[in-house]
Amino acid sequence: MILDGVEIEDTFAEAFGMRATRLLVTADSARWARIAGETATGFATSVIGCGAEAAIERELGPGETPDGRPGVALLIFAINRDGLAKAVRDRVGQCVLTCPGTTCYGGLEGEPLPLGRVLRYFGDGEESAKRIDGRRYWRIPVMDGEFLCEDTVGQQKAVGGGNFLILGRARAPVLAAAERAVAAMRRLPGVIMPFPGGVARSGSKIGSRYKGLSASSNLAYCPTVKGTVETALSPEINAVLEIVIDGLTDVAVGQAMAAGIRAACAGGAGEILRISAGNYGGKLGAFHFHLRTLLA
Amino acid sequence: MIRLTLRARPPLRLSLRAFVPERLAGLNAGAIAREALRQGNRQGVLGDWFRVEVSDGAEDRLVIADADDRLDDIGAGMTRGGLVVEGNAGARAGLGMSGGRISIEGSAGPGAGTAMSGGELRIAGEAGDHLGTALPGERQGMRDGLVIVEGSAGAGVGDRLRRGLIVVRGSVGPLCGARMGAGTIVVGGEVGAGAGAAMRHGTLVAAGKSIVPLLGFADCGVHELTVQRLLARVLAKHGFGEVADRVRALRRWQGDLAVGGKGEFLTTP
Repeated sequence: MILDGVEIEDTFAEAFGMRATRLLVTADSARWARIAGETATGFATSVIGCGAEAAIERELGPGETPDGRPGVALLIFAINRDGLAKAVRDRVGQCVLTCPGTTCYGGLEGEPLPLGRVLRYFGDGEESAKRIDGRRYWRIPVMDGEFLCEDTVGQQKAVGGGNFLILGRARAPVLAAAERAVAAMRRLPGVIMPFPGGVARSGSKIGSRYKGLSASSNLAYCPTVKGTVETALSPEINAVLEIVIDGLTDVAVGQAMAAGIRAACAGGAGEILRISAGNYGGKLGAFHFHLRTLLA
Repeated sequence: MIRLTLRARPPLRLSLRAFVPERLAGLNAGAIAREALRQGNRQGVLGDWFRVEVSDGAEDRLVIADADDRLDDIGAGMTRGGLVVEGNAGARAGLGMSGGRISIEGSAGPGAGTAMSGGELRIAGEAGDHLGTALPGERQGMRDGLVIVEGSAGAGVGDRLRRGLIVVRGSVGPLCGARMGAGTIVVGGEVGAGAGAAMRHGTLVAAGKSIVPLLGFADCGVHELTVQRLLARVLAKHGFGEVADRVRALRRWQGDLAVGGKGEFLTTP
C-alpha cells in the first residue's frame, strides 16, 4: 500500500487495556490552567517507568468548563484501578492543588475514582463538602483562597499503546512528519500522545541482555547500528520516530492513528519512506490496529 | 393530563395528601372523583369539591385549578411527574416529596417543602413560615431537592436544613438557616434577625443589603471563590441572573461559633 508516495507496511500496532480518567482543571487564566495541566501530566510518558501515562487532551474555553474559567482537559492512564487512583491522587495533590487559582473537576462519567475525598485531609479539619447541582465537591482552605475539587471523578476502560513508526532518510524530515502527525491527532477527542511533544525516539523492545532491565532499545530500528544488528531498516533509512497513542476507546485510537499517518505522509514523499508499527507478535495486547485496514 | 378544578372555597381545610400524579395516573375521571377526601371529621370524596377532567397528554401531569389557600399538603409524598397549582396552596405543599416538580403559580402557606428529600418546588408568589424545614420532632429538615420562591418567605426558612438548595428572590423573616447542618440557602433580598443561629455547616447567602450576622460568626474577609461561581451558574440557570451577579464577591463569616459551627454566612461586602 502506498499513501502519498509512502509505503504503508502490512503490519499492526499492538495495544493494551488500561484504565483512564479525564480531569478538567480550570484556573484564573488559560496560562495558569496550562501550567497546572503540564505539571500534572509531567513525567508520565510510560506506565513502566512513570506509573501513569498522561497529557493535556485539549485546552478548554471559558464556555466549556463548569465554572466559566479557562481550563484544560487532562487524560490520565494507568494499568489498573489502583494504579490510576494513586496516580490521580498524587498528581492532583502535588501539581494541581499547589497551583494558584486552580479547581479540579471530573470529566468522565463512569465508575467513581476517589479524588477530593482523599485530598481533603490537607484541610486539617477546616475542609468542607459542598453539593452543587448534584455534584459533590470538597473545599480545602489554601493560602490564595480555597482549592475546590470534585469528590470523585469517573473512570473507564481504555486503550494504551497504539503506535506507529515513521521511517525516513534523515532526522529533520522525519521529525517534521511526526510534528504534522501529532498536530493532526491533537485535534481529535479522547486521545493523547504521552511522549515529549507527542513523539518518542526511543522505541523499546521487551527484555535486555542486562539483568534486571525489562525493556531496552529496539535496536532493529536504530540506524546507527543497522550494519551490525538484525535490522528492520533498509540502507536509505537513517531516522525513525514513534508516536504512541493512548485513547479512551479503541475507535478513538484507530481514528487518531489514521489521521496521524495521513498527516505524516502528506508532503513527505521522497523523504518519508515507510510507515510501520510496533507489536509483540499479537500475543500480548488485546487490541490490534492493522495499518492498511485503518487507512482503507 | 388530569385537571382538578376547585368548585368553591371550602369552609374548612382539605388535605390533598393522597392526590399526586403518579397515584392518579391511569384512572378515569369517575374513579378519581370517587377517591376519598376527608373534610374535617367527615369522610367525603374528591368529587364533592373538585370537577375532574382527564385529557390526553402526559399521564403524570396533574393540574389543580382555582386552588385556594385552604388546600393543604398539595403534592405531599410526590416521587415523580409534574404538578401545577393554578392559584394558592395551603400549608405543607410538597411535604416529604422526593421527586418530580411542583409549580405553584400563586403563594404557598406555611411549611412548604417540609421534610423534602428531592425534586423541585417552585412558588411564584410568597411562601409562609417554615419553608423547607423539618417535621416536628425531627432532627433533620429538608434532605435534598430544590425550592424556589419568586417572592418573599416568612420565618424559619431552612431550619435544620440537611442538603439541597433553597432560593428566595425576595426577603425572608427571622431565623433563616437556623440549626442548618448542610445545604445552601440563597436570599436575594433582606434577611431577618437571627439568621444562621446555631448553624453547624452549610452555606447561607444574603445577597441583598449588607448585614452583620450574629456574634457567633467570625469575619473571614471578602472572597471570590470558585464555589460561588458554581452557585452563580445554578442561580442563573433557574432564572436568578440578577442574584447570580451578586454572589461573585462576598464577605465570608464562619459560624455559628456558639455551637462550634463551621457553616458559612456569605453577605454582600
